[in-house]
Amino acid sequence: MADAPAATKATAVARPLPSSWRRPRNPLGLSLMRTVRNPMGAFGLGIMLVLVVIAALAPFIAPYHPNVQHDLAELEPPSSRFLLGTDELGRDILSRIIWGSRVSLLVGIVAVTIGAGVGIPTGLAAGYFGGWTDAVIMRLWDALLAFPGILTGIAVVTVLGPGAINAALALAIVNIPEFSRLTRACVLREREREYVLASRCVGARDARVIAAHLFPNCLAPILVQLSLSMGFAVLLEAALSFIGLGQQAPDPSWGSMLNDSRAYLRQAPWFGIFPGLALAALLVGLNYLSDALRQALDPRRINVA
Amino acid sequence: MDQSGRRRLSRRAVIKLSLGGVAATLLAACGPGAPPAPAKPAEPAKPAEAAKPAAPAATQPVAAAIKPGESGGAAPAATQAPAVAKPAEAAKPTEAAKPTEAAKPAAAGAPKKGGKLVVGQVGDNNNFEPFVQQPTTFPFLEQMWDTPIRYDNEIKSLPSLAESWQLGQDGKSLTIKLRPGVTFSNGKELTADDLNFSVERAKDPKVGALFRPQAALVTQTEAPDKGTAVWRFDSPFPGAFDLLARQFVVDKNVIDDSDWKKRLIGTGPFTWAEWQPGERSLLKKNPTFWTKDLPHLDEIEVRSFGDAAAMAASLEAGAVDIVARLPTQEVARLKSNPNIKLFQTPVRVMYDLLLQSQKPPFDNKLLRQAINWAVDRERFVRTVLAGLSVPSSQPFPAHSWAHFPELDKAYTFNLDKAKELVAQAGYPNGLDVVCMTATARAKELAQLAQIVAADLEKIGVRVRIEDVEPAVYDPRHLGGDFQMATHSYGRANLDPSTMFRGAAAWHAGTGMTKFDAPEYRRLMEDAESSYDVNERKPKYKKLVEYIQDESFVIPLAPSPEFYVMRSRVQGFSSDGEANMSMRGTWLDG
Repeated sequence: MADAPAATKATAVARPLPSSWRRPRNPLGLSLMRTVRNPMGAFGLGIMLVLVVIAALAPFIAPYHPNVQHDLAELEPPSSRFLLGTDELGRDILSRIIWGSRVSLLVGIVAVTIGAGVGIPTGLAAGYFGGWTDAVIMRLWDALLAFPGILTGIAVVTVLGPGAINAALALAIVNIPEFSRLTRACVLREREREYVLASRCVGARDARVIAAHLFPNCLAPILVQLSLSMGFAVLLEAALSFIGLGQQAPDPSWGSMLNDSRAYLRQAPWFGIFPGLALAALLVGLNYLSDALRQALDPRRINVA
Repeated sequence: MDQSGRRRLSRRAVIKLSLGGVAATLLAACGPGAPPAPAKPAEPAKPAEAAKPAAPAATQPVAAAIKPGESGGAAPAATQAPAVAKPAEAAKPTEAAKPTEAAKPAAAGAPKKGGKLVVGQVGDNNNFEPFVQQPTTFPFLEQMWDTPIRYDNEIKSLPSLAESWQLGQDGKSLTIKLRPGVTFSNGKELTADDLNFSVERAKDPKVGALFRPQAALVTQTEAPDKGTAVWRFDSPFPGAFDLLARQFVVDKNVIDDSDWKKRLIGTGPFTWAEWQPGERSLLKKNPTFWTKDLPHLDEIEVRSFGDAAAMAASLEAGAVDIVARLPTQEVARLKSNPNIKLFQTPVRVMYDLLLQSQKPPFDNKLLRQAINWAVDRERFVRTVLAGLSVPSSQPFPAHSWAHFPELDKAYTFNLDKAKELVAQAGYPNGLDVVCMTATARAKELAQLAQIVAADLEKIGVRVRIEDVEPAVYDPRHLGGDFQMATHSYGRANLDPSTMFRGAAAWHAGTGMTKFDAPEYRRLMEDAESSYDVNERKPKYKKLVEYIQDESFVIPLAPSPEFYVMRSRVQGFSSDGEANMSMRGTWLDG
């Protein structure tokens, strides 16, 4: 149980760079190093790092408070006073983008952490035990999967009430079946392998087989899915904010900024372009990262190396 | 290893390329930044104000028209002439070129016949009931049905289906003489029974008529002969003319609740021809319309759009001739387009702030007054309404006779005063409140909430904005389930009694803010007890002063209705409730 969230954080941010830059022993470390040395991976990771730093330092680097309305400075084009211009109520767009990055990252991380935290263990259990356990868990997730992600998100937010945290929870629920099914598929494949049979033959208990053998061997696709899901969650949060169900005004979020900017696209293009660019950068970063991870974790390539 | 060398190179290339791309986009983004700036300075809202002062004078005829003689064949001309002249006045404030253009039809006087006019609106009309009057029905009302009298957009009474009308000596009855020879589009002759049936139908709660509160004051209807209807009231009903201007007349024998197509029979200049749900509706010229030579157009198509931006683009591309209910920001932008002209009615709704006056914390009058001092109306008008309106701290807009210029500055933007009042009210450390709004109802409401929140923060009132769906907003704001809410109320453009009776924000006890006081009820009733404007005016002044003192509804600014149209559209007009009328409209080219 505890492994999953830890693994999530590791991929999302810190682990690869400092420790694995040299010459790691374990295959996982090796693949992470590969990811970083892949230009796509480095670029993706770089963007993510920059965004994380920006989000963390928001109070110090934002030139203004994101909700302060500067009187007589409404819809100003980018200038030295407002680097990215102002919105319709005279708020500094740069500051709002900086603060909005917190929402996007928070939602992405919470959604993926909870989604993986619930999805992976249930997937392991379903795949390993089979039978009734499998049937019940999988039918439950099938039912969730039957609805498109955005629809489930809207339904959950409608029940819980709008807000960034609730949007994150909604997206976590959307993520659970993905992780669960992915893990289960991998466990089904691995559990009949010789090393697993050997482990059971020497008397290892179920918990040990799962924790020591099945989970580590299923980590590769899960890692890729983590970064993919995070990108998806960020996008969906923007969509929820866009329809007014995410972050609540006046607090900024990229999605709601994009929505607000719609009415002013022609008079004040900067209002829409910059939040859109920020969102695109985050998504490109995450996609590059997941692509690089996928390449690095590809077993065929590992063998070649 | 050569592989890794290649990679190193490509990494650099990728980063370079990406950075280059980002830089290029940034440049592109900032490039167009400069030109749009001039769009803003179109600020001076004053000219619009200047155009209005003439209105109070023009409003008096409501009272004067109480005992009109006849109007006969002259009526249609009278109906059109002032309507045509008005757009010039309304459009004047910001443009110099437009007014002359708008005034041209009157001067040229040779309307061209035929053609199809395309009206755009957001959403589709799904209710052809002329009494419910939801916004998507507005393009149809004046085209398909007639009312006994018509208001022009300055609330001047003009004869329509009624040729003349006479108040009883005691003020408790009204005799309406119908124009002879008017037929419905199915060929049946219009009689007083149809008029009486229509008002009885509007009183039925099941129909859901928008003007039911007024219709309900008609306690008895009679038809002494087929051309005369007599309505009786329990007490004098000074808002009766507002009802006459809103009471569309339907065919008594045909209307059938089970078949919506049967509700489409009217006496108006156009008849219903076709409806493609979600796409468009088509109206065709009524060949037997009772005004000779009208309408000029052959067809009107009402086209549905998913969102306002797409609709505005269609207007610019020339695919649509007139659009209604465009967001103020789009209006401000389109104004500078030489192929497009603007028709501005004085007021559709008044934006206001509701304070639930029976529950803490706003059961405290001092706190309510503090809020009234702390709302920056000027900034709301400048930013959200794009400078196209005038701030107001009283319930009625400037063209109403119940607007008192001397009360205009009763509340100005004064944070020091507000802060003082918050402390006096017993909140020296400030307080937390929740402000309800509904972006999906109107974006302006949500923007208003943000402006209010930012200003109240400065006087220690910390506002959390609760943005809810219309399906939640409606029952909650109607039922008083909120602390503070951004809102807009209608009817402020009509007789003051119509607003107090018809707009739920103002009802005593059952209104949105639940405000109730014997004094409030007494002042309201007192001001309705007569038909004489000169007698009622001082009474309404007292009432407005009382409302300003109690501050349970905080009026902010009137929101004009804008019709944006291509310059080939001539002779467009609107009625007293700012609904579009295409009776005298024609296409120049």
